[in-house]
Amino acid sequence: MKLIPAFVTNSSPVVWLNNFTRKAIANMLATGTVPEHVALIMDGNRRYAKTNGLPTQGGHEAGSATLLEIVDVSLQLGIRHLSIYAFSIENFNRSKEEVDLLFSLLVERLDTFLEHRERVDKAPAVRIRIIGNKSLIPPQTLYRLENIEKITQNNTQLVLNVCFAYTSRDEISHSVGVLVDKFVNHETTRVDIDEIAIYNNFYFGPETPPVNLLIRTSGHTRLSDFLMWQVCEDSHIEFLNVYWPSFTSYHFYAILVKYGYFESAQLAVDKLNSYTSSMISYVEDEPRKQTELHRLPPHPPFVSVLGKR
Amino acid sequence: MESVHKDFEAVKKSVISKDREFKGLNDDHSIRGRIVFYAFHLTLLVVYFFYSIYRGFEYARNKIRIKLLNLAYNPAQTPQIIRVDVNKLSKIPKRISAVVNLKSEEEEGGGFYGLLNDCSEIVAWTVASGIPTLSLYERSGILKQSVEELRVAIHKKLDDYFGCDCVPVFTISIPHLNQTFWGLDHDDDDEYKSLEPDIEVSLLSSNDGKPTIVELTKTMADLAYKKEMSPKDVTVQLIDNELTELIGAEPDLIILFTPVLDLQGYPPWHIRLSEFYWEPDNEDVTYAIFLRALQKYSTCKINVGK
Repeated sequence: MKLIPAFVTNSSPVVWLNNFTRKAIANMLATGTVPEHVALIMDGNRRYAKTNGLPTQGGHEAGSATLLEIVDVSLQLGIRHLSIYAFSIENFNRSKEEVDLLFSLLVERLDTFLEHRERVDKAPAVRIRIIGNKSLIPPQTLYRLENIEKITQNNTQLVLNVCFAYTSRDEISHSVGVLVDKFVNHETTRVDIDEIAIYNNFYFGPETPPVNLLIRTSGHTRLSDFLMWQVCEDSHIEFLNVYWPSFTSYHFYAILVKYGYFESAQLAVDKLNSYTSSMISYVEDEPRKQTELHRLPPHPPFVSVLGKR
Repeated sequence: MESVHKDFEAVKKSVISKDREFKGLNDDHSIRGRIVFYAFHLTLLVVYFFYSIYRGFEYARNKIRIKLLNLAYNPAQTPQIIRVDVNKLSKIPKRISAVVNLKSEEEEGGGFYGLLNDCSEIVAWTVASGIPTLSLYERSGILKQSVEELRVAIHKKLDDYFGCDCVPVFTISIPHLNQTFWGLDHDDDDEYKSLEPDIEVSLLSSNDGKPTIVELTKTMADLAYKKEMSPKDVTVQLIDNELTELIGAEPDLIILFTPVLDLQGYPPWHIRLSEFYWEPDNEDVTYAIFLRALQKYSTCKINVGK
């Protein structure tokens, strides 16, 4: 049961105040440390639907609305990459009806999303990329998805990476396979096969920055085969105990305050460490002083309580 | 007064304007733009200030909670107590992994010997719980370099828990070097080696993560070059088989004895479905954390893709 009736929350002063606050918070946060690449595991649509007595589709629709809100916030904050786990290869294990529903919903939602953004922006800002094993996507769906990619390819403000038919293990295997193929065809050398080369041959491509922040909703504390290579080092991971449709921009702001705070603190510690280590190295570089006692300046005269002797 | 009103208007405009994003604000080098920027930044610093106070309280609260938990759950070096605690759970993991850190010498329970004690405690709790496989992840790899000290420490701890005549059979392996050590000093004891180990401990470090996948890629590239395999043979299943052979199977549960969830370069292939457990602001290796991790695991729903 909602605490505040809908007619109050939908009234124009409340809407205005909400927009004003959100914009102010976004402008404030943007002056600090903002992650360049945020990844989302949008979990809990079906449980949200079940809890609220909605059909499964209702949960997915509510989840899409949340995503629109988070994309808006990301644009305001200047986040450059937003990656979402839309459909895992393991999701093919679901019933055919649900898989078909998810496919059609995704394409439909992306179309609606583009219309929404065109309405909001004077110039479209979001580039949509489909990340994953495209050979597993049915041709008709793939055609529509690639069309959406093509329409938005020149937008630069935010890249929305839609991970579709994706798993991290599949991505690593793909990259390893590409490198092996390149080596056989003399396009790369043994020395050039390293962590960077594996990263560069991911579905995401070399231009995608490292993931700074991963958020998973619904309380599960596992990665479920998403971006394992990218987040196993130097990434913030946040597990939230709310269903994705209930995740609001205010949850996102709270996570970003925490992220910015710890990143700033870490930056300060790193600076301090580099300063102290430079001081230490400075001291160490100096030749050890040799001081002979008798070369010191003469001391003041002795005065004893027993009188001058 | 007029100028103050103008500045207020500027701030208000920048806040509510639809098409004026912060990016534009930051690029605005006019005096008004800079004032607006610093006004927002000052507000952010105030928010950070209050957040730091909140964090102080949260830290104190977490520490007190951990202390109380440690008081409530104490195995008293008695395997029966551990087994009774574990038997209250509906399910337990088959393979667990613990992420431990080498703490500074100055800290209580820190330094190399503190780390050995922590690791041997975890081994004792794991074996008393009935879990047969444990991997210990320490980023720098110091455990791998000190296997002799570690096996002595584990033997001593198991002796404390189970008694000198009943020390469980254990093996320590370093998957990266393909080495296995049996018990305290039973490497040449065929009778000991014929026994089924009660616990298999493997030692992992950051070398077993991304660098191992790179090495595997190079090996596959060599094989493909010699026509012993085709690039098309590189599949998830093949890599999984190889990495399981090299490092071991994916753990069901990863317990991080660290204050924050920081995977520290943990082998990425091995964190596909693993549950993570960590206690915020906890730096100590204690039984309470171990048991709570098992409790949480017992409530997890495991549903790949469903």
